[in-house]
Amino acid sequence: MSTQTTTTPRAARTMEESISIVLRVGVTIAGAVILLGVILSFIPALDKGSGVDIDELLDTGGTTVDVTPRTILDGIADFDPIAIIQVGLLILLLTPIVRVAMTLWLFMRDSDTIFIGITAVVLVVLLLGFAGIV
Amino acid sequence: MSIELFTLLIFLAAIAAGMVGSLVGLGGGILIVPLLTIGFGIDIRLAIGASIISTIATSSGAAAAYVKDHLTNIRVAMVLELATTFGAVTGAVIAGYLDPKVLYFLFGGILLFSAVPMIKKLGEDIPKGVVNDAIADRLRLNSYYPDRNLGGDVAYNVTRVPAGFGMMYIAGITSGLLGIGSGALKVLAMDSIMRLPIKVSSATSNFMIGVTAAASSGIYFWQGDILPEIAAPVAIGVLAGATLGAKLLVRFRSATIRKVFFVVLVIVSVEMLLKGFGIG
Repeated sequence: MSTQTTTTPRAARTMEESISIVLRVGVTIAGAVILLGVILSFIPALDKGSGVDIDELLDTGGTTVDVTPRTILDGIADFDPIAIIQVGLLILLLTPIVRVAMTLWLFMRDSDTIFIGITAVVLVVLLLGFAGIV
Repeated sequence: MSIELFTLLIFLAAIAAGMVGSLVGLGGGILIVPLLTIGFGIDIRLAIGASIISTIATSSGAAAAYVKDHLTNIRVAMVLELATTFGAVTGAVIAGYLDPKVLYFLFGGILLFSAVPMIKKLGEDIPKGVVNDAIADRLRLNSYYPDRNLGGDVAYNVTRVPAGFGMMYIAGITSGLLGIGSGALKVLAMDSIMRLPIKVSSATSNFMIGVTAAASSGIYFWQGDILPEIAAPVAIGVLAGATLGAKLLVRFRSATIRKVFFVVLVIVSVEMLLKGFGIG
């Protein structure tokens, strides 16, 4: 029965603190950008009409419109609150991915070969998924 | 209903979902999907899209707190994320081919299934007599965590890693398919199969949920299934709720958490099954 940990408490703490900071910062920025978009969407002058009405929202009949980097950039150029919310949502989606990238870097620093491999594979799957390639 | 009132109601519902979700180690998505479909009558595809957002928000918000409290086992999480991310991508691809009724049915079924094993061990705080298996030894997965109720650090071992890994692949598929963190299956894999203490299972599950959801989120996002009008109040509400929930977790006893977890699972699963049968 092995109960002792081989990672020193100090190294573990450092990794935990770094990860905690990445998550906190990512979520805070994402939340702020999304909130900004929501507040702007309540300003009538900025309503581009892209905000669907409730009935339409509740019954799409299963059809949704594709989102592309182009539509988001155009929306931002247009100061469309919806595009700003989408940027915030993307930051939120990226937060766990950045966390994994950070974890990879920390394992590399510790020369932890097996975990470098494991984390690298997870990161690749995440990036492909994020790009919507798979 | 005006869009302002609609946003406010979704926001308030999301706060509640985020709080309960983080308390029991679920992504919050498990509560968001029924709330949006049954409560607001929103299309299940869009509910799943918004749920992925809530799932990532809950996980990241609460995980930031748990990780610092040393409740999360990062090495166990990393190994199992290998299984969940592959599963999530598989699930998101399959989801495009399924009838919404099937999604409801799967949602309810998976929840009910994951509730059953919880009754047997309801109330056990720390698993006893667990010995590391070969993989856990090789990967140094055993660790310790501070337990306030027991006063001091509790060392624990990790067993049956391959079985837990297999369960995690299924959890990943479910996550990609239904937009939930599959926290129920993750906790089940770590608590019942790998025999980690329930608080470590909950925190590590929460930690993994964001990464699992992120693997499939891109597919939903670019398809337009993540509608900003719904996802925005859900994200902010769930973030607020999860932060609150994480602050409360360290004060509750494990047995209390398990009981809440069990009741929530049963209620939600019955509702979703009824929807799947076309009744609800």
